[in-house]
Amino acid sequence: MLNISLPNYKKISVAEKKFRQQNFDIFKKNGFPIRKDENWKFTNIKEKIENSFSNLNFLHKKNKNIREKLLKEFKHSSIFLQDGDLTKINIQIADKKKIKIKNLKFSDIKKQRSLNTLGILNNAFFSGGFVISIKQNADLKYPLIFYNNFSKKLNNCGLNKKYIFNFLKNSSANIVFVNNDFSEGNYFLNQNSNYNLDTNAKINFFNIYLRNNSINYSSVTANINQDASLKFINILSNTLFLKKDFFTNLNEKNSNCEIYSNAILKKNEHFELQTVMSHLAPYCTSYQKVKKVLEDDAKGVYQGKIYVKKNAQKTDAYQLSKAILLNNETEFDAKPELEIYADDVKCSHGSSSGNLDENAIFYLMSRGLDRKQATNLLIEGFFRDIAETINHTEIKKYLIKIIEKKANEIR
Amino acid sequence: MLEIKNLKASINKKEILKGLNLNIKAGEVHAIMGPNGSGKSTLANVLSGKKDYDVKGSVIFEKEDLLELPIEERSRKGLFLAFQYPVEIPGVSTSNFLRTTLNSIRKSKSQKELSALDFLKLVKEKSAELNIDEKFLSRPLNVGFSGGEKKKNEILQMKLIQPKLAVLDETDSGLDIDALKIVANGVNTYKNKSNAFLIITHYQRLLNYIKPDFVHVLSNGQIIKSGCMELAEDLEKTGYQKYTNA
Repeated sequence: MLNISLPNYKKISVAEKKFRQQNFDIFKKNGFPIRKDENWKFTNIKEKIENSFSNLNFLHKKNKNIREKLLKEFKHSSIFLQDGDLTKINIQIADKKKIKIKNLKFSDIKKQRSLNTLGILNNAFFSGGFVISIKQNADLKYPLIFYNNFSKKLNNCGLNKKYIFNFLKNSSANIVFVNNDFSEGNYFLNQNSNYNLDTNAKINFFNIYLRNNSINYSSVTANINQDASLKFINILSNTLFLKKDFFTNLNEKNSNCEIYSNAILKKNEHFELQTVMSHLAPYCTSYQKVKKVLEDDAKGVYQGKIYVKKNAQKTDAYQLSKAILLNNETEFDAKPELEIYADDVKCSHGSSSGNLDENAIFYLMSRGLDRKQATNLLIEGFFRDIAETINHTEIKKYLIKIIEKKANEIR
Repeated sequence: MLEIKNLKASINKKEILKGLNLNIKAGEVHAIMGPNGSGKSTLANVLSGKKDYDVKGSVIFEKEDLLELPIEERSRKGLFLAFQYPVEIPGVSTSNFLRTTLNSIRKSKSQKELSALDFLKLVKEKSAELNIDEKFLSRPLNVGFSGGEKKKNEILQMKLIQPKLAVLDETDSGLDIDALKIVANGVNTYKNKSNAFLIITHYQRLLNYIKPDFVHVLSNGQIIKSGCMELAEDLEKTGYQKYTNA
């Protein structure tokens, strides 16, 4: 049985101490999520954690050997995170006055409704993170890249991090979040992010998992106000065990959210994406396209819910899930849901899974490609449409390069 | 170049080709005509190595047992099939596909891969010959192409790959007269003494533009009559019945 106790935090306020204790008590009562809970039906994180750890240390030492390798492909501002903590910030001069970033403090934490037990756990044990604000009317000239690196030595520890992004009125930015894990695995990563988009903010958020060896739960809550628009692009591979929950609240009229996710899963990798797209105001639009390619005995899950509140008339919501299963040992589960209380809306969803099209393979092979080349080309094509939605030429090129590389890793 | 002896092919235990014999020499153009269901497309598929068929008999291509070769090696050895229904492949741009396929074939022949620039030059030149708009190259392969564009794309591939033997499976179907002329012209300008064509068609129409040296009638899985252009003209007038009932 896994033994978890609250460390004796020093130098914290009485209020924080109380907050942590209260959350810890709730967590102790409820424990890790179990499969009986609909949201956790396909991801048995409790078992995974209990089998992986005999104890979890929530007070890890900060790593001073930080990695600072920059992407050479295009000019950008950079923010380095090591094991979830801010280590280095380098903003291009043109954008310096437009960005404010600082370490997360207890006072930055806003009360969140209906947190699941891992959110509660995060409240009890959070150890850092950051708050970033893109100022009003600021239009970032250069992409902002977060290098989210994890150290080699991480072992038997639990990291609970909070990342808060505030995109103020009329701001616009391209954010690239590159997750790169150099550890041998065997740590638990519990991330809790907030994206707050104020009126007319236009944000493209690219989330790239190059390598992720942790047992990872990542929840994102996006709050989108009037005329604001969030495009979230997720590209994932080499990810051992991840459940990513994406809760979007289209809070005010004419707001928009697009989510695209591409994942390649191999060996015994596990990735669940759960999205809850809540249309809470009229004239909002949402578009979701979730694609997976599964190989070996990987497991992929997509749970996607579109919720339309009674007053959210003229909602336009779309959701599509597609999976390619390259052999019989893979598992793919999809649970699309619509919950609609308004009567003048356009909502549709679709889900498909299957093998590669043998006719297409034959066609390509008859042109001299061997089976692997044909397969790789088809998978590249399967993922390619995500790139067509990107307006930033250099980011687009970079992502296409990643997609091509990943597609070529398929055997 | 190609020697087919007593070729039999069945799918789901249904025999479609029932002992087909055919010899094609370099420099020749052969046409195979036949009614629906006579086995024309099966012949094309079996030659290019499509799975699903149970195949017996022998096919020697350039002194090698074709039936033993995997699909891609048949192509690399110089066999080309222009598909009746070219497959739509979303996400893969036509030029990316053409370059991958061309380089894969060049590599197998120990030739140097084409640089992006050289490839572009070559593909532009060949596209122009077929009246293919450059924009078409950046579109996903065959997706949303008209019937004519798909067939022109097949001929473009043929001209890039430069096979020894090209099998055209009903390349004329779905073409208007202008496209038909362009496609035929594409074939005629490629034709030379060292390559050969096997043209599979329902109608004589295409053969007015690509003159065959031999015309064969395929019926019920066998070639029941061979002749020259007059045979095609006769078929056009009288239909297949006279031959298939014989």
